[in-house]
This record gives sequence, C-alpha cells and structure tokens, in this order.
Amino acid sequence: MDKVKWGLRAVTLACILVPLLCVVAQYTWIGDPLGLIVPPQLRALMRSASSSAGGDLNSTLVALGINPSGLEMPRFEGLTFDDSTKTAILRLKITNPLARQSITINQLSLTVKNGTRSFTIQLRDRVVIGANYAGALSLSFSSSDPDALKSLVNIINGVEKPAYAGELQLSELYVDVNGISIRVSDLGKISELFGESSRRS
Amino acid sequence: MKRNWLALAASALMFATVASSASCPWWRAELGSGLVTVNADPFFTSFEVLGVSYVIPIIFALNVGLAALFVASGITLAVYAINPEKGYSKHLLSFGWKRPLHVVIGFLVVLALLLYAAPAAVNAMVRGLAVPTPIAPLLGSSTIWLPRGLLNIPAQVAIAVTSNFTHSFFLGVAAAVLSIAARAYHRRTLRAE
Repeated sequence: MDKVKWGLRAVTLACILVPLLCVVAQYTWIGDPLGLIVPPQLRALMRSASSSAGGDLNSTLVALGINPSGLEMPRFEGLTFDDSTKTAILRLKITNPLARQSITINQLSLTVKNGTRSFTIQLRDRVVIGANYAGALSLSFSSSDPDALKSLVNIINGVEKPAYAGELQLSELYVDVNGISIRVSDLGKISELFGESSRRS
Repeated sequence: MKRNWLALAASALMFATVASSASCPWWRAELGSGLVTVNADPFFTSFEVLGVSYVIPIIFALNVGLAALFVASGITLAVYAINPEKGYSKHLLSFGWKRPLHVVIGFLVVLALLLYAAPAAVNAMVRGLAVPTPIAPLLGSSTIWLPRGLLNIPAQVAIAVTSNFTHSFFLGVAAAVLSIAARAYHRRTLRAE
C-alpha cells in the first residue's frame, strides 16, 4: 500500500515540478530570467527598445495591436441638419488605429449655452467603428430643442451669423467610448472650436 | 460489486472543469468594453489588452502543473469509484477528493489577495499613488475614477469595470462539493461493512 501512497506523491511532485522546471530552465538557458514574469510579446518589445536607440516604434505599436498608419485625428467632413428627422448629422473621416478592437461610442452629449438659455444635444444611436476601419462616418444628434439645434448647425456652417454667435458656449460634455467615460464641464466658445470650419464655409 | 457513484460523478466534473477552463476562464474582469480583459483561472490565466492576448510564462507553468494534477486526481478518483473496497482505494480517494476543494479555496484566496491586498500594498509603498481597493469588484460592476491630475486635462475620466465568475468556476465548485460527498459516502460504505 505504501507503494501506491509514494506513487501518488511522486505524481504530485512531477505534475508541479516538471512544467515549472521546464519553463525556468528555458529562460535560464537563454539568460533571460525576467522573461519568466513578462509575457513573451512584451519581453521582445523591451529587448528591441533597449538594443536599438529608441527602438522601432512601428513594430512596437503593431505588437501592441495598434496600426501605426491609423493614428490620425478624426477629420471634419461636414455638418447638416435633417428637417424630416430633426437631427444634426455630423460627418467625420475616422480611422480606427486598433487592429483587433472595435471602438464603440456609447454616449455623447453636451450642452450649448447662450447666456441664461441652454439646450442639450445627444448622440441618437450607439456608433461602432470596426477594428482597422478607415473611412467616413455619420454621427446623428438630436436635441430637446430642434430649432435651436438647426440654428446651431447653420451658425457652425456659417449660414447664419447672429450677434450672439460669438458668445455660444459648449459645456457639460459627456463621452462614453468603450466604457471609458470623460466628463468636461467647460469646453469654451463654439467660435473658438469651430472657427476654422466656419471660415472655410 | 459496490461503486462510489458520487466519486465517479466528481471525477467526471473534474475533467469537465479542466476542459471548460480552456475556453472559458473561471473569473473574468473587463476594464472598459473589452479594452483590457483579465482571465483568471487555475488552469489557464491570461490577459488581453486591445485584443492582444498575453500569457505570463511562470504562471502558465503553474497552470499546466495544476491542470495535470487536477486531471491525475480525477483519474485516481475514477479508479477508486470503480473499486472502492480494494486496499489501495483509500489512498486513491485521499489523493483525489481534496484536490477540487484545495483548488477552489486556493483560487478564491489568491483572487481576493490580488484584488484587495495588492492595491493596498502598492498604495502603501508608492506615495501619491491611489490605486483603488479593490482594483476590480469580485463580482459585479464598478467604476474606477482616474485622479484629476493624472492625464493633465481638465476632465473627469472614469473606466467601467465588470467582473464575473463563469460556468467553469461553478463546475469546479460542483466537483468540490461532489468530492466531499464522495468522501462522506466512503465512510458510510466502510461502516456498512
């Protein structure tokens, strides 16, 4: 009976020690003990960063799941107001730099203030930008005050130029992208944010 | 011929637990919507950042060892279940029945230490750092608020964290419960003799 007992103890030791020793021996053999606690992909990046001056940024980004050519800021393409649905449609040229991960805009809302008057704008539907996507994207916004939203679109496009246009302020921005939420209480004046696009139009 | 059916069921559940772990970790925590995923499992632990999966070699070795030991315990429990009256069966049962219990308790202890003790230790060691404790809920969802000065922008940034135990964990718990029952049943069969 002792043979069974000892046999089972040997099985326990073998099960725990064999894989452990194999991995320890492998990294000790190549002289990289740090490799035991750092994932191989990250270890390769650390090695390349330390061997060459600054390392190859592009290959580092690719290994981290980021497409280097996709690192671009969204570009403004146009803003229109749809009278039938009472929504503002913002067109952007967007590139998702994440090679294996989609970007989801769950919520986007902000408040437009003109002195004591204010109205809120919010994203109507969730927007999903697929991994590696590059192209135009339409974001549809609705508001509690559709007329004010229409005026805002006209002001940004330079169609209307009321006296108060320069005083319009954006505040209470709330964005939820992939579960990361950002809240900004004051964004500043619209004329400063959209000045360039207004001038263009 | 007597059979210990509870031990046989426990051993079957032990095999199912290991097989299930390969596709579904015992506990999964997600920061953001899939931005960072932590897959905690006694048999296959990994984490994913932006869709890229990472495995820590030393933890992988421990996982493989534990999976092999779990399967070996399942085999001994199955052999015991078929011949519970043999002289060597007592040793087989003794080797097999405790394993699921040890693994379940050990897993919960390590998980709790990582979630509660590790952030507290980091906060104590690094002044000015405020790692939330627990860093993620053991079960359910919460929000991590980043310190205002961290990103150097005048904004409040929060990250949603969700975590849950999967069916693989509950298979492990069921295997532990059945193995305890198998041990108790063995006592009864001995008394009957």
